[in-house]
Amino acid sequence: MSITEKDILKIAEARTRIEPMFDTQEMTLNMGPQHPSTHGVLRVVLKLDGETVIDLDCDIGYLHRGVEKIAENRTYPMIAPYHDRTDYIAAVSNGLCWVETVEKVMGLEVPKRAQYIRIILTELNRITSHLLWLGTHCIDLGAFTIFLYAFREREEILKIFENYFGARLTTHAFRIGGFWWDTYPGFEEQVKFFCDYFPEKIKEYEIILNENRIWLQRTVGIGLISPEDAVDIGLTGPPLRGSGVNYDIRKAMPYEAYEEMDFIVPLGKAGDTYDRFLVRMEEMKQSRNIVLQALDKLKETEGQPVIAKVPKVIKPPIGEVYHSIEGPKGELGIFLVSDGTNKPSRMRIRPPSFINLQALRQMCIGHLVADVVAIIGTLDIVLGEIDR
Amino acid sequence: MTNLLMQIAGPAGWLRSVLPQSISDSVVYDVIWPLIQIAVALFIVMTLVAYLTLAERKISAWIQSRMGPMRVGPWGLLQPAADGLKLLIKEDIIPLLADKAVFTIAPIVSMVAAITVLVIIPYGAGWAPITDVNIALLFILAFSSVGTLGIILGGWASNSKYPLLGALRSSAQMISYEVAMGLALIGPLMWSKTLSMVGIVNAQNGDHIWYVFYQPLGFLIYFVCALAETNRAPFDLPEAESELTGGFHTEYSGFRFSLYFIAEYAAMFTVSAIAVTVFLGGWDFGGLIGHFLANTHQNVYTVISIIVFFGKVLLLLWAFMWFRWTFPRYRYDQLMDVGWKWLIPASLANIVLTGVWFVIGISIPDGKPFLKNYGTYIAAPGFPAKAYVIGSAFLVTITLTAILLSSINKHSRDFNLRTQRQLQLQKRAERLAEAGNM
Amino acid sequence: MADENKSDGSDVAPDKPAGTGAPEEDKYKTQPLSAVPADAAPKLPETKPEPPAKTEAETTEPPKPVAEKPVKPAASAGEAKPAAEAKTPGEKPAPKQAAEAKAAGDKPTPTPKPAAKAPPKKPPEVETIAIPDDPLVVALKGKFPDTVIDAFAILKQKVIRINRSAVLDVCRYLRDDSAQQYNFLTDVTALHHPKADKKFEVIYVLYSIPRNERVRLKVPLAEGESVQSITSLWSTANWLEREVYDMFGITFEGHPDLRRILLPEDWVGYPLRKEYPLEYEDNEWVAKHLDIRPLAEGADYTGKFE
Repeated sequence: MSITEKDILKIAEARTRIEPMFDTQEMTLNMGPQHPSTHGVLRVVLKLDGETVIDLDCDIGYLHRGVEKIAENRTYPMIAPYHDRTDYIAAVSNGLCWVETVEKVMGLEVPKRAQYIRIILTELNRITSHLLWLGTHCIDLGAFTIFLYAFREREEILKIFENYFGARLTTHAFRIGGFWWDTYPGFEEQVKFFCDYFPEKIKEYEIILNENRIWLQRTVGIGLISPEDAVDIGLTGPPLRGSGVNYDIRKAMPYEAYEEMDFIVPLGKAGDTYDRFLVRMEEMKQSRNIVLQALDKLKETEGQPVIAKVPKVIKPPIGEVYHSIEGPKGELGIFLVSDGTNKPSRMRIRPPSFINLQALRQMCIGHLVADVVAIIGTLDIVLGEIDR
Repeated sequence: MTNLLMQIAGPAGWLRSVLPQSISDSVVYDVIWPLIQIAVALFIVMTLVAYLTLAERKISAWIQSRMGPMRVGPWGLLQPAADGLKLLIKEDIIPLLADKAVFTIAPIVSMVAAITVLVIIPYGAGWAPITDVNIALLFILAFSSVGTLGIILGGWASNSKYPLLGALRSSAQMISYEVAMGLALIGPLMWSKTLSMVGIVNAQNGDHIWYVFYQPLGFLIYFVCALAETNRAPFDLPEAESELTGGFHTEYSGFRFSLYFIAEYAAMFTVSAIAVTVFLGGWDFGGLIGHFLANTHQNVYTVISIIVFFGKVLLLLWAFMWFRWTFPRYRYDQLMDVGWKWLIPASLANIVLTGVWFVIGISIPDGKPFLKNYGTYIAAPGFPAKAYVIGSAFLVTITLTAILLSSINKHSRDFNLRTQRQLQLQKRAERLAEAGNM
Repeated sequence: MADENKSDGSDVAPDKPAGTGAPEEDKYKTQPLSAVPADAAPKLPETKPEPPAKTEAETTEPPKPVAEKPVKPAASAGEAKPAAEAKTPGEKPAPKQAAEAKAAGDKPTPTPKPAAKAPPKKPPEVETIAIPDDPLVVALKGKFPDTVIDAFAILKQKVIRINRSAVLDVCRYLRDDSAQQYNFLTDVTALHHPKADKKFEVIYVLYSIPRNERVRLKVPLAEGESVQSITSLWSTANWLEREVYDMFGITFEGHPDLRRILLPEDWVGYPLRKEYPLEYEDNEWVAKHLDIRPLAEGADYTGKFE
């Protein structure tokens, strides 16, 4: 709302920091689309005073593929793989959102066992997404080693995905109505193994980062955003919760079997990069807890079907629905309009990264170039999703 | 052979005996022998630098639970050769709008500055040092600044924004850290009373101690500054890959890039060698064996001392790499903070306090002062004297400096992040309350 | 009043007959939706004069088993409701054949079928209930008497259609009123119904974090009409409205920076309109931006290396 006023203040503050002695000139710096820290093909045009950012503009769309248009020309099952490719880091979550939306329009009730498997896989996917965020965020701040540590753990989850879906990244995990296949033999053991081994690894990251002076200096007080501003700018997911707003769709509007799960929604206090870091670290632990709980429930439903009764040709009734889930990046919503045929009349994705990225300008003004990189990292954006 | 081992004159003398008498003594001792020494030193150090790149990759790999290069040669041992070859045959690109002359010269400046310093490093005892300049330390400090000049020139000549920012950062960094680095070296100089590298090592030998024990704070400051001087993480801002996409060498490719690369590693070697010489006793490996050998088997002693010297240098280089793969990167303003608000006051405090301990040590214990002036250097002979110096350095100097620094930096943003954070939260709450009232 | 209509007033259900074409009130929903594909296809611009090749494809295909969705248990049980749509075996290959015909970007495939071959039954609709008594609707009607067109609960999600003139006021009311507190703008998007009078619908998804309620506002717009920007209420709307402008060509009055966001500045056309073809090469644009000039007559551009 009042971005401009705030910005003007910040700019004024940034300007008064150094009394100009000579004739000075602003410098326009083009960050991206080929830049190691813009996490894809984001182009940020920075206006700099020395190294202080006084204005910036995001130029997006380099990866625009028109997924929403394509979806209007594909049948419902055919659309699912496109969702894997929007936020390719969280393909499982995206797939979940899509199948749930279609199921909601069709009025399908997914069997409990399938719901538990979905929760396990989605939460594992949240962990992979956060691990990738952690790794890239650390690279942005120059701590390269954590990146590889994070990938080491991510690998374990990808192995599970590979065993189950046959794919590691674009998993195409779910089918409308449930699953094609029940879990593979050894699935539970593999998930359990990961859950057992993960906490000590998280501790490893925390030892390196949580009390690290340089890490604190680089993150505390950087990219501050107040709860009011966060709501105003539409942040969701960890960036919103980092500012202390308690909005997690898993709690607010539970989908699948999340009502049965017992977990905490971590909230930040100050709304800076460090808080968002802590929130995501805690979310990983909570995801692990959820996985363990779902694993227990999964054992109780041994032998039950994993797919609802789905017609061979999927033709949802005429209608429309907005459904959203808590993706790793934020609220991932799909607005689906069905016209009674086997293709949707309109499919709109509410991309969390797209909307979170909007906060970049507000968060960066007054900071240094190095902080822009940190803030892009802390927003955890994926250009595939922003540009769609 | 035993003759050679015992020979005091060493290889230079042997060379004299081998070469025909028609070549005069001065030519042999002042031209041929130094040239051979330079060639050998250059060969060893350049090989070392090449293998440092491999070591960097291997060490980072081990830290990161990977294997590192494994394909070229056994355990990737030929990787440096492959890298060098690749860089040599790559296309040499000069940007269209670059200042071509400066762009071409800049990496050479860096490289030359890094290599020149090698000549005055005392690699070992006896005949090992190439030359002993009596202003060696000043010479080294001067040349390390010239190396930074190469970076600034390269960044400026690229006519591109990221390199320019890198160059600006580099110049600021050089100015800040050069000061603290120079000041940190003054402490040991007060003991050794000489700028000559050989003299410093001899002073430590004479006192049977390494100056790192007399000057722990100085060593710490020096080491941090050395990291910053050589653009190593966590101070690698001029080339910060994630922010400036490589900084000053963004536009460089092929062999020009590799010149910068070699210069960086050569500079690492240099600063480590200085640290070893000034703080870690140089080639000294202590104990009776050394002295026994020194008196009987001079040449054996020299060879061992060279090995010891390189061993110590490698240890420090390992620490360089260890730090690089452990710490996140500082931000530009924080780097300045660390330089000006912490390191420079600390080095000044170190100098003052060292002076105080001198005065006390020489004057207070009446008649039997702890410290003795041996003419060329000052020493603290005997256990109580050493205990006094080491104790004062480790306990009192560091404590007092810490108190001083914290009082200076009490209001600095970065001093106590937790307090700052609390303040921030408090301010926000107040602001919110105000907004609520309105 | 908040309580009694939370349970969707089932009494109102009868006025909304199940699936069939409804009187004008329902028209907005049922008619355009079902009508969309039918007329979208013929409108394809110049590039793709591909005929509706589907009929052949359909006839040739039938022997092939479905391959798309024969999920294990589902294969056995064709359910009552969807079975109706899954009508004839000829229909089944539709997804497959759509994949082949995707190049055409053709909508014609699905719609003619229900019309032409299958029984003239209309596809079923999701549960849609008018909610005139919902407290939110009542409050809005009280506050802005002429604004609210109608309100429904579609699959228990509140949808309120309002006039374009009062968007800003309604949103401000919803955001600021202590009884509503819809403080979070989740999404702004649009729909295109080429056949309807009001061709566009701008959709605002509002969410109330304190009350955990979600509501959709729909603003029907005719071609060329614009709608007030709500960027002054939520900064989120900035990019979202830009995207709607980019994709549908709907302009927002008072938007501070209404540019295209995903597509290049000088792009022609609005991709998410139904008449915009799925596959479409703007050679002119590409030539201009990549600086491609026509090659000389008889030039050899096989790309041989000397």
